[in-house]
Amino acid sequence: MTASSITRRTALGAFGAAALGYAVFGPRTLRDVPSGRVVLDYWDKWTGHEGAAMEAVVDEFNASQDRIFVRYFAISGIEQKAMVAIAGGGPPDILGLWDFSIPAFSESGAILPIDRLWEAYGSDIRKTMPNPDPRTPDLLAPERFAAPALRLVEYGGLRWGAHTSCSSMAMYYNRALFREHGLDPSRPPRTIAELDEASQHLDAFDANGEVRRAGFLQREPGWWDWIWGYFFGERLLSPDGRIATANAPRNVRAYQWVRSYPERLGATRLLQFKSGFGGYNSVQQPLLAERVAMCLHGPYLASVIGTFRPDFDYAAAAFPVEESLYDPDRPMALIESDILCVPTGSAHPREAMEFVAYTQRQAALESIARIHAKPTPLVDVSPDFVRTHPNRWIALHNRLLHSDRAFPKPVTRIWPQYEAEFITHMGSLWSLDETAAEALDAINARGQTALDAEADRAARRYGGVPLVERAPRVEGQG
Amino acid sequence: MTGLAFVSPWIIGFCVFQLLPICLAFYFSFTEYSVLESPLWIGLDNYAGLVRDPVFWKATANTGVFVVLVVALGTVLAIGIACLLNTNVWGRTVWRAMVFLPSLVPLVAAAMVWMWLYNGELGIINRTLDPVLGAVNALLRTDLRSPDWLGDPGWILVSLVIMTLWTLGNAMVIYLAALQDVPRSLYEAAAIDGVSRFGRFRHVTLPMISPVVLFNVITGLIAAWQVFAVPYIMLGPAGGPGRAGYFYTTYLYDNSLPYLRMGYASSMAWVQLVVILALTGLILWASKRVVHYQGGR
Amino acid sequence: MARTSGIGSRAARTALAALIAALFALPLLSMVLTSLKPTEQTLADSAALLPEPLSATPRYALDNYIGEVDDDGIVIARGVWTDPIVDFPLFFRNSLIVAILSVTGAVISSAIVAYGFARVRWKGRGPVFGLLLATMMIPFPVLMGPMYIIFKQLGWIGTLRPLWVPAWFGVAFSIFLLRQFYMTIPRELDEAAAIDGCSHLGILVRIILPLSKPALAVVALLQFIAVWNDFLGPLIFLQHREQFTLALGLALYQSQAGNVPWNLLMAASTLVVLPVAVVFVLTQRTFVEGIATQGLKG
Repeated sequence: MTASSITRRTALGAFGAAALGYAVFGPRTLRDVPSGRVVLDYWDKWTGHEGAAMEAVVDEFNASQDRIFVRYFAISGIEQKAMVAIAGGGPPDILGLWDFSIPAFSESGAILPIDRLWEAYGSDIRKTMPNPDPRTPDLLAPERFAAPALRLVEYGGLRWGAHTSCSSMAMYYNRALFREHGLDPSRPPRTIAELDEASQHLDAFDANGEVRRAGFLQREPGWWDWIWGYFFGERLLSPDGRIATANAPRNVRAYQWVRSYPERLGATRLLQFKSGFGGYNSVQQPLLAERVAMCLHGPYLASVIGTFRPDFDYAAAAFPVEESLYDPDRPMALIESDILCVPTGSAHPREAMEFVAYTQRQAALESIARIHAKPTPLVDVSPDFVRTHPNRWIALHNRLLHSDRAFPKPVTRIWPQYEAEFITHMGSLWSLDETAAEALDAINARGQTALDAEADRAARRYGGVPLVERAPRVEGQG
Repeated sequence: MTGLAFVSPWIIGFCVFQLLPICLAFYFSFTEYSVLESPLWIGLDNYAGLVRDPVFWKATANTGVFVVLVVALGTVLAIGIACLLNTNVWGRTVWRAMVFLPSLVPLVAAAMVWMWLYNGELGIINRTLDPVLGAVNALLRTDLRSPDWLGDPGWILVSLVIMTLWTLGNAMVIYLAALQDVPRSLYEAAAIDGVSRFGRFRHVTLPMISPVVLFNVITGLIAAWQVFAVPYIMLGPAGGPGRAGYFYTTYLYDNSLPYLRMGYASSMAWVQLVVILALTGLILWASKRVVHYQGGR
Repeated sequence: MARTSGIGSRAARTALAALIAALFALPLLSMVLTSLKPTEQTLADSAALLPEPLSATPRYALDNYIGEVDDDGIVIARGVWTDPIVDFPLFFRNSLIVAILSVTGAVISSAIVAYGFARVRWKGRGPVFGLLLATMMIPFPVLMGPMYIIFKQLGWIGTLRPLWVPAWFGVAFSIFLLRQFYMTIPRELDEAAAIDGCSHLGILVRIILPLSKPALAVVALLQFIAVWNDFLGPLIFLQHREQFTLALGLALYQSQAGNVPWNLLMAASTLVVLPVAVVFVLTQRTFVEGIATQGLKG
C-alpha cells in the first residue's frame, strides 16, 4: 500500500465522516407546531414567490386565532399526489387545485362541496372567526364574486371550491413596434381581419427571406391550441357535454385562419423561425425579444416583463374576434381560476372550511393576486389594488373576468385527452401536412371516442343518478 | 434449502412490499378504475381497447425505435469508451469522471440544458453547424439547414437518443469494473501467440465481459422502455408535433392518473411486462452460446 | 495496465479520450456557467456562454450560491444555500440520509441474495430469478397506489422510511448485477474452500466478496444515483417539506407562472453533482485496480 492511497483513504474517510456528521447533527429547520391546536395540512401547487404570497396568508391566519394551525405544503404534481393520498386514506385537509380539476375530483366524490360545508358550518364559523371582513360578513356570498368567475367553481349544480386567484387571457402587444410601423398603439386590432392586417405590417424578414419577426403567431406561447374556434363563435362541446363539436363549420374556418399563417410565411421557414424561440420565463421570451409583436397571454406575463425587461412598452387588449362577433361591451376571453377544495376524508372539515373562508377576505385575495400578477374574482376592487398592481393593464383583465362572454376551458372529465389531440394535430396543421378539416375531423373522432367511453362509464357507475344526489353530504352542527 | 436461505431476504421484501401491489395491478387491468373510486369489473375491455387504440400503437412504435437505437448504440459506445479509458491514456481519472458525471445531473436541469443546446438559433449545436452547412451549401449549391432538433418530428427521436446516450456513464462504469476481472494472463498468452489487438478484444475481452454485457443489454432495454421524464420536460405532455416524442411509459402515466384510467394503464403495464419478458427470454436464449460464465452455470 | 503499445498511439488515444470527454462535458459546462450568471443573463443572446461583465462573475457566483439575507431575515439576493423557499441544506441532508441508509442496505442484502442465485443450486432457482427480473419490468405508476396503502398501514407515510427500508430486502437491479459478476469468478476457488471445510457463508465472505470489490462499488454508486434522482417515490410518500429530498426539492424552483430562476437551479444542480464527482475521483481506483493489482486471478 502506497502513501498516496493512504492519503486518499484518509481524505475519503474524512469526507464521509463530515457528510455523516452533517447529516445527523447539521442544522434542522423543522417547524414547531404549537400544542393544543387543531393542525390542518394544506397542499398547494404554489412555489417560489407565489407560494410565499400564499404562505403569508397562512401565517396571518395562524396568528389571528389560537385554535387552528395550518401547515402549508408546496408541491408540483399536486393532482397526482392528491389522488393517491385521497384514495389511500391520507388526504390533506385543504387542497389547492384548478377550476378544470373539478369534474374529475367531484364526480369521483373526492372533494366535498364548498356550499354544503358552508351551509353546515358557516354560521358557527362566523361567530368564532375573530377577524371577519366588516363590510361583507358572509365571505362566500355569491354576489361578492364576478358571475363568470363564480361559474368556474360550479359543476353539476354545486359549488366545489373557493378561489385563490383568477386570470383572464388577453392580447399583449409591443407598443413601440406599433408606432414604428405606423400603427396606432392605442387602437389595437379588434377583429381577426384587423389582426391579420396588423400582423402583416409587423412581419419582418432578412435578406434571404427568412422570418425575423412575426406580427402574430397562434403558436406563441402555444398553451391554448384548442382556443381559436372560440373567437369565431364556436365551442368544442355541445351544451350537454356529450358531443364533440371540434369539426363544426366555424371551427374549421378558425383553423383555416390558423393555417393561413404558415401558408403565408412558409411552413419550413416558420418552423425554423420558431425553433429559435426562447422559453416563456427568460429574456428570450418571444414578445420581449421582439420575435412576435402580438400574442395571447395571461396577466402573469407582467411578472416576466418585470423581471427581464421592466422598461418594455406593452399594452393588453381583449383578443380580436370575427367581425360579426365584435362587441366592445362583451369582450371574449378564456378565464381560469386557482381554487381551494376540502378533500373527502379530511379529519377536520369544519376547521378547513374556516381557513378557506378566511382566504376569501378581500385583503387576503388581493394580496395573493397582486403577487401572482392576476385579478381577483371579487366584484369589489380596492383602488389601492389597481394602483399597486404589477400589471398596468389589470383593469382590462378585471373587465374580461366580468364579461358575459368570458369562457372556461371545456368542462369535461376527458378534457386532458381531448386537448392532447389538439396539441398533436396543431403540429401537422402548422407544417401543412393536414388541412384544417382533416385535422379537426381526426381530433373530433378521438374526442368523441373519449366522450362516449366516459358516458358509458358514468352510466355503468352512477346509473343516471345526478351529481347533486350523489355528492357527499356534510353533517352540520345544528 | 441453503439457496433459498440466501435468497430469502428478497423473497420476504417481495412479499411484503411488492406482491400485493402487483396482484392488484393485475386485477385492475380487468376493471374500470379511476383510483378515486372502487374498481368495476369489465373483463377484457381494457385489452381490447389497447388493440384499437392508435395512440397506443404510435407510442409503442416510438418506444421500439428508441429502445433499439439506445440499446445498440449505447452498448457499442459504452464498451468502446470503457476500453479506451481502461488503457494507459494520460489523465484517465479526469476523462472517466467527465464521462460519468452526466448521469448524476438532476433530470430537470439536464433536460433544460439540452433544450438550450438544441435551440434552433441560439443553441450551441446549431451555432456550430450553421457556418459548416453554410460553407457546404456555398460549395455544393445545396440547401442544407441545421435540424430543428425538438420541432421537427423526423429529428425528435434522434435528439432524445443523443441526449440519452449522454448519460451512458452508468454503463461505462459497469464495463470498467468488468474489465478489471479479465485475467491479465489471458492477454499475455494471446500476445505471445501473436493475436492482433482486435483479435484480443474479440477473443479475450468480449467473452470475459459477456455476462456484464448481457446485464447491461437487459437492464438497458428495461430502462429505455421506461423513458418518460426527459421527453415530458423537453416536449411537453403531448410529446411534441405529431406525437413524435410520445412514449409507452408517457402514455401509461397519462392514463394512470391524469386521464383517471388506472385500469387501462394497468393493462398497459401487463402488456409491457409480457413484451419485455419475452424480449429478455429471447436475449437470454440467444446469449447462451455467446455468454461465457467462467464460474459455470 | 499492460495493454500498451508505442508511445505515439498513447498520445493518440489520449487525444481521443479528451475529445470524447469534452463532448460529454459540454452540457455540464453550460450548466456551471449558467450558475455563475445573474437571472437576467440566463439564456441571453450573443456571448451567452460567459457572464457579463466577466469581472463581476465572483459577485454573481456569490449571490447564486450563498445569497444574501439581512439581519431581519429579509432576502436581498436569492442564493441556493440560504434560500428560505428551497431549503437546500435541509434537502441535501435528507437526500444524504436516504442515500446512506439505502446504499448500505442495498449492498449488504444484494450481495447475499445474489450469492443464492449465482453459486448455490436449488430447485426453483430459475423461476424465482425470472420473477426477480420481472419485478423490474412493472412500471411504478400502476403500483404506487397500493404501495401507498401498504406504507400507510405500516405508519410510514410522511417519513423517510418508504424510501430506504425496502432496499434492505435486496434491490433487483443490484442483485442481477452482482449475480453476473459472481458468475465470472472461477468455481475452482470455492470448491477448494469447500474442501477446506468452508460453509457457503464462509465462501461468500472470504472468497466471493473480496473478489467482487469493483462490482460492489458499482452497485453502491448506481444505487446512490437511483436514490439521488428518484422523484416519483418522494412525491407520493413524503408529506412535509422538512422531509423533502433534493430531486423533489429542486422542483420547488419551478413556479406556476413559470418563473424559474435558472441560475439558481443550475447552481443547485452543480452542488448536487459536485460531492459525487469528488467521491468518484477519489474512489474510482476501486473499479480500476481492485483485483488486477492484487493479481489474484492473473
